[in-house]
Amino acid sequence: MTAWTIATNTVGEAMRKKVINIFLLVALIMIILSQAFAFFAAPTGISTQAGEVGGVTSASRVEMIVIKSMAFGVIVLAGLVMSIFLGTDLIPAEIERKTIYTILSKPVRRSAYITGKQLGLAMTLGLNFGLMGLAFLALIGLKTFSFPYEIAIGVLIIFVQFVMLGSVALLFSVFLTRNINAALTFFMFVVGMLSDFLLSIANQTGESVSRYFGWFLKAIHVMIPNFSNFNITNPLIHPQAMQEIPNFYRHVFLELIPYGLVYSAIMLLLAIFIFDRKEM
Amino acid sequence: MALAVQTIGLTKRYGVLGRGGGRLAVDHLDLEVEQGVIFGFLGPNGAGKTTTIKMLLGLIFPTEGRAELLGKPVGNIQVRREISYLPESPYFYDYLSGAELLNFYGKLFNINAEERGRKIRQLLQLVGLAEDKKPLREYSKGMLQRVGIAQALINDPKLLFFDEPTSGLDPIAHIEIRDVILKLKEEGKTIFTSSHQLSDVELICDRVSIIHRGKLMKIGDVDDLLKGSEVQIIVDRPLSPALEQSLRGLSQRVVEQEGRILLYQSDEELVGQIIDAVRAERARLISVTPQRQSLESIFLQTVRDDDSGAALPPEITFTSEDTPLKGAEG
Repeated sequence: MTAWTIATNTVGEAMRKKVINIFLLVALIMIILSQAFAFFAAPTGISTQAGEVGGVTSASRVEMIVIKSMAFGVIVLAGLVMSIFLGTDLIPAEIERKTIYTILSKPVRRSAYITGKQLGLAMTLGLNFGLMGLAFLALIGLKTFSFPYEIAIGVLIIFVQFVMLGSVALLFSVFLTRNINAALTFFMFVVGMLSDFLLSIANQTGESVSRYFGWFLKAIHVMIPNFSNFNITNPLIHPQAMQEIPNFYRHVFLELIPYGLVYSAIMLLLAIFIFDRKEM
Repeated sequence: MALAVQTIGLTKRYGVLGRGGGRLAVDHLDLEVEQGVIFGFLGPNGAGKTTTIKMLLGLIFPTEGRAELLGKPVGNIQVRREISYLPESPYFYDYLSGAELLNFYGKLFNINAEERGRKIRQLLQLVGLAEDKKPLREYSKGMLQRVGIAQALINDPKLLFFDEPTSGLDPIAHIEIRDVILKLKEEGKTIFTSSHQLSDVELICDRVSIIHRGKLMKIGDVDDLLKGSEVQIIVDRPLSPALEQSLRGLSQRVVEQEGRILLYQSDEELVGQIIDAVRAERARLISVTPQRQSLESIFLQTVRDDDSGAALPPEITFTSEDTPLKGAEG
């Protein structure tokens, strides 16, 4: 109950942060403007019978690819900034302003406080991703006159990815300064995006990679969130590429999302463990 | 009487060197605060007041020793239902109104909605903010402090910790906050307050302690501490040279005034001898008055004594805020 109270309050506080509002606004504008960019990027000329794919002309297909690419890109960028900003700021801001003293001196367990903060962070990201996703869905829906479920799945995957990154930032915020935290979290994101690549290098042990370096890379692959797994917007943008991932929906709902949630839960447990011993 | 606060050898050492090294912020502090009193916790900046309060609230952990609040160990979640804290210059969520802020804090105590609503109205009335619906960012410092006191009362606590409750307030807000504290005492609550406003402490506290460099230097009832041991005896002139010489010999210090001589002595027996000598010579005794010290002078003396006569550290400065306010008794 107290965790929920903290969480709802965190959403209220976070949604009033100017940085978040500005990024949300810019992201919404960019998503809507992606149509204009697509207009310039689409090939000129009248579509031919041969260029039609499933009733969609090649021109409109390219236009859709540009819109989807750009909108997904904007959402990822906005998510990156929001999750790092919120994750690094929520707890340090309360310590600096001494608000945390009035909260933790009440019958609020530190674990409930951290859980509430992480839940609030996820809810805030959810709200922002929801708004960006709605704009994206509306844009594509109006163009295709159908419900673009693949867009909804894409936004959900990006949301889970940034809940994970936010939980990493929140963990670091318990013991690192804001700037170091932001830099380290961004570094984690970049390394996490290269996770599969690092594993492929590690698997070359004995050939071109030393055994110990291989173990080191495998350790990084396990410890740092594997964001490269979440980079599946390509098949969502290019439907024909979806066949490259066997059992796509199983992969999303039974592997990716549970992985993101379990990883976030582990980050939360670590944050609770450290925060329980932290001196305010 | 039951104890509201008890610390036994409470020690806090900061630094990476652990128990053996680092900076000693609080040094084996033994305190006992009875329930139902206003307890002033005094000390210069960096003396360890806030560190002690934070240990009592479980915000930081002692290196050694232990503490109990209302008979239960610090950190006990049940104890936190019965205590409250108002930090110095707190920030509250400034997009909320006073009522919304109290609602948030009320929820943390799992107070049901109906009870919460009743308490919020009652508390806003108490601190004089019942009519204010605006967000906290539009509040003055005094109003913020008042809403801070209201949040500290949402759970009807038995024990309240106030850290510099009147710091930075204008004289009117200052007096209002002081009156609220007195009202809380009348309701039987225990108030543990740290303050640099010595005039306020002298006026409202029942008991005070002075800590310096983390050590307890002095503790006692305000009346006992202020009751100076020195007695002032005023004698009219003229005096015979023999009597004057005798009186000067019996006094600790002598102050000359036009047509009078002011004699000071703290030894009761010698005071009696001075009076007897004056009467024996049939000189005119104007008055015999026990001198009352000010808390400020006791505080300064205590700190200076501990500094072994060295100059006061630069952070110990007294501004006009530390002198009694005109009309403060009103």
